[in-house]
Amino acid sequence: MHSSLAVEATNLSKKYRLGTIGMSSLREDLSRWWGKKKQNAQNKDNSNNAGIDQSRMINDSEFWALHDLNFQITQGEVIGLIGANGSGKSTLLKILSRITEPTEGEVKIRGKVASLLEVGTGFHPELTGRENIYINGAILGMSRREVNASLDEIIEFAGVSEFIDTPIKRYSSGMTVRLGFAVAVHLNSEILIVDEVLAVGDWNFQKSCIRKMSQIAENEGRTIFFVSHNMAMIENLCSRVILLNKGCLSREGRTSQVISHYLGSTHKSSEIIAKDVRGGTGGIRFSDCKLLDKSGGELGIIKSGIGFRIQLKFVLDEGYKPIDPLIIINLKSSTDIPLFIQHNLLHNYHLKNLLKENCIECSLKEFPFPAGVYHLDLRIIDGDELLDELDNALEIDVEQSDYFESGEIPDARFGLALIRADWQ
Amino acid sequence: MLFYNSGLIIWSYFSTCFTGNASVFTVNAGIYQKVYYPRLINPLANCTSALFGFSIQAVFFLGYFCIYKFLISTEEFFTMTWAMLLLPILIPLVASLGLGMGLWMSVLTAKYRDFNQITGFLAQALMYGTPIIYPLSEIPEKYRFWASLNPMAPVVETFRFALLGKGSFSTPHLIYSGVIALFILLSGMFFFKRTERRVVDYL
Repeated sequence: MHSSLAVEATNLSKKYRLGTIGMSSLREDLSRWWGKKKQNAQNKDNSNNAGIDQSRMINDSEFWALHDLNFQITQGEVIGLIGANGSGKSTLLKILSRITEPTEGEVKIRGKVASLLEVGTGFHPELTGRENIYINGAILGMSRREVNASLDEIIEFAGVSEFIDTPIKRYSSGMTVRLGFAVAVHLNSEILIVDEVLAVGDWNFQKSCIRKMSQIAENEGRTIFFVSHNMAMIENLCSRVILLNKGCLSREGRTSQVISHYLGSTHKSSEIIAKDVRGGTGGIRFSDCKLLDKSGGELGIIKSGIGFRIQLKFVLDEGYKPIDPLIIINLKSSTDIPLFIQHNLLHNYHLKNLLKENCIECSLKEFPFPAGVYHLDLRIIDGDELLDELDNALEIDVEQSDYFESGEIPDARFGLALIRADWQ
Repeated sequence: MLFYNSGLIIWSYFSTCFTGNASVFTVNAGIYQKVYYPRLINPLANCTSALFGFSIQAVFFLGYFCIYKFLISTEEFFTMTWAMLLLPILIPLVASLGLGMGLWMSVLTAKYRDFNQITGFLAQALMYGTPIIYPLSEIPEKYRFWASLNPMAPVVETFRFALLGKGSFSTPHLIYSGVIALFILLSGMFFFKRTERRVVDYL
């Protein structure tokens, strides 16, 4: 059952045109046809459309929203779809849910698709919750009897039992979302497509949605496409992730790897000096940041659990008189959760007699965090003034290791830190 | 009175099917962009719900019919004829004509918005071109051929013949309009189907 393919895309491409497309009036088309010269002039105006990567452009007015996608999804998988805004996620979902056709290539879908591109599509504000469940079911292709079979479950899951005979227009937005989601997950479609819609629901509801989705994927073998910008949610739910970048499939594979890659690629942290976006008033600026092992060699990838040194170089502006500078290191997880802060004054280390160029090191005894990608934010504060501020100054790649010396390696999902303990 | 009424109820059914479906893509753009289902459902639903309006008008017509027949004595002779049996054919015929032309217009309005204006105009022009407020026999002989090319003309005439025993009835004409209706409907459905695949991109 788990081996059969649910979705297979080959050379999937979708072309879109820029500017006012399609929807024109015959009068305009005719007048354009009369004055071909004029049209050429107009086209030149269009060509100034900035903002879209040139590699995506086909000519002046057309570009690839999706270009040459190939992927296969087996039944029962939960696929996360991530990518920056405008990377083609929604276009892909529209093609998968058959709303629009690809320009080139094809996608084979086995099974009925229920898509939740927007919550409450087809909800009629004047009708009651119960009536809307039937309508929504019908739109998703379920007969009245099929809806009847899961009606109670839907109402219970949505938590709107007191309001079920009230018109939808009186619902709060959260209730509408809950109802829409409940209908979509409870109806028996083989493939469920969920576009960033859960964000409206409260924390409890989001949790129960995620539980429900993993449950239907595991128990009923239904395939789920899930789009979200909430990496923690993706990490929790998805077994595999597809990363889109400018309409192309940039990476596909295990969730944690792809997410790290994605976050790494968006942060683009390499050379500190090259960073032009930095805060602070200046006076002292970081010039370099490196990770060194205990013997002083530079580290690329770090093993989870081991100790290492963070070497920081900074430069004083001419004429700047430091008071008592504070060098702050802030480690954050790939999902931007702060993990620890460290600065020189925590250990009573005062910086005195600074030269023009200085180099300090912070040795960490151990790095008790599971495999993944982390990044460092750096700050210099002197007196009450923020002199330099560098977000994502350095990316730290951490690979798995046998931290507990037992062969057991807990997954990052279950905890952000590794803590040693004694069991008796 | 009964004469106009009988022509108008069948015409208004046609024109509801026609104008209602002409803008089916633009009206349903919101839902078409968000969820997939066979798009043809919307036009079909429009035609079916228009039947409801038609039956209400038919009830009123029956009322008038009875009033005129039994309460107000007129010189004119009118009666329902055996052609009533044709009603189950006539109504689908009108529906498919209206649906087919509506589908054609919907394809055009999806691409060119200004066709929306034309729809109303076209419906009105067609109405004057169809023997609704006048009988076909009143058209001068030399134009009658052209008037009977209008596929709605035989339908309206037959409908009136069925209800009132007035007007003309000719089987070849009715078959002609059936063939035209079928052609318009099938070609309309074909283009509708072709448009629905991409229409979301330029709605």
